[in-house]
Amino acid sequence: MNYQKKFADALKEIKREGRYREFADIRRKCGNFPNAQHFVSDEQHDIKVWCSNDYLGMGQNPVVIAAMHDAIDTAGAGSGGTRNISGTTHYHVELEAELADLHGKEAALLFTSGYIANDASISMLVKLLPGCVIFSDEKNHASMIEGIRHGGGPKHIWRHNDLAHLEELLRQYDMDTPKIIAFESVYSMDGNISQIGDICDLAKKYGALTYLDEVHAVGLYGPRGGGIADRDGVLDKVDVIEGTLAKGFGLMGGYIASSADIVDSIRSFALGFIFTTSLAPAIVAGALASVRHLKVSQMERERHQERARTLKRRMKEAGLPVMDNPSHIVPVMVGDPVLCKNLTDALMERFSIYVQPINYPTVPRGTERIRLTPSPIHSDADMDHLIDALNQLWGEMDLRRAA
Amino acid sequence: MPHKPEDIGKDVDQVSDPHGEIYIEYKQVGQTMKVIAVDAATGTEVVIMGPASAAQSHLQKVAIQKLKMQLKKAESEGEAEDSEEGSTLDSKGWTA
Repeated sequence: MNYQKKFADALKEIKREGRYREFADIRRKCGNFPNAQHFVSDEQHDIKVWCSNDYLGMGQNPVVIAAMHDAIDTAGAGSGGTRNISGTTHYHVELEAELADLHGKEAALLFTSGYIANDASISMLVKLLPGCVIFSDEKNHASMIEGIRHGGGPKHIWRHNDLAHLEELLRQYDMDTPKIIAFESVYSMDGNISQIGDICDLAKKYGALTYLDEVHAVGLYGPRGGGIADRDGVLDKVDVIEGTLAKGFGLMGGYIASSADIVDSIRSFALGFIFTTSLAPAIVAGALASVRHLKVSQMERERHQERARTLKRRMKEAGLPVMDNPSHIVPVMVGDPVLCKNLTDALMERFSIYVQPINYPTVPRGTERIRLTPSPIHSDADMDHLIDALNQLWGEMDLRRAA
Repeated sequence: MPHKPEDIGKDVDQVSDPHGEIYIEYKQVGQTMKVIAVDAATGTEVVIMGPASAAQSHLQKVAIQKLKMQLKKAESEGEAEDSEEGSTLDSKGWTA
């Protein structure tokens, strides 16, 4: 068999479809969010980042950076091992306590990423509950879908945010059948928000556990940054909350928060937790500083929401097809993978604006889009520049405008 | 930087919960609110931090929730200790 040809053909096919992923070679500027440098051949260009998931700019926050420097000076670079074998540093212990407190839970557990947190936790919950049936929102993230798949139990997909459909599926099982309802709070590509309290009420009625992914909400919503469940005052109704340290908190890593027994079970059995080197102390120390800061500071959250509202309003006024939603995410529909890529290439090359195209399989075919993430630090002048550039390119490329 | 005296506020609430009496103390330092919840019966206390601008009712709910978890934990640890009474240790570990 000609192995090389097989791989080359697979790549050729996704290039033909216009969904071949190219990574922008950038370097963020310390303390100067959202500015970065773009490396092209031997040249460097200053750019403005409009697609970062460092939603609040905490990755460039001086409090966070100082904590990371201090941790390196105190504890060195790496953690030294898995959590079980010398890799549980005092920073890890402190951060897990801080995260449990953030979500009003008995315990929390760190993972090396949000993806691993979902995959390892969901699959292990299913395995520890023989006969467990999973009920999964149709727009759940790939990591949740992988966790469900690795768990191996029966599953039902409920129509996105459709509680009547969820109930119809739940009703098929008796109370004694173990069940898990897996869903997200903020769906990252459309920006819509689930009714957490109502879903938890259904779970109680039908005897199900709830597993809530809050990765696009932690740090950003709620009086203490505990996510949408914190904002809605329903933290106590959710059984397992999964979050990330990589978005609102600006670092990397994932976690779950839940009862002591559930967390201890996942700690004891989940392979994705056990057999990997733990996060570096500097990362954990930075995350700890970030979580503590956002627990008592509303300023970033208020400014973030204001910036998102302002950008959506201004883009609508300019006739650009913003997808309406109640969150901080600003998706703008293009509807074609090749045009979407051409648009983002032109934004970078001609206007020094970095936006990543969002194509299949991240979103369904025909709904290709750009996804803008205004931060508290993006200024009015930054918005002027972005909207002028989009307006010009929309006209040149004859893209569909808002109805 | 030391806080000016006018930045520091203090307030106490008494809440009747099905569990019993709970004292809630609020201490504001600048933009931060420290909330202390104390179980009147046992003296067990927990602390949470939040923004001073957040609704006190919300912070109170979070603090009471944390206190209840702490009390539940203490209760289950007490039960575990009771069940170990009378057990003996042999070479294979504890046996009842």
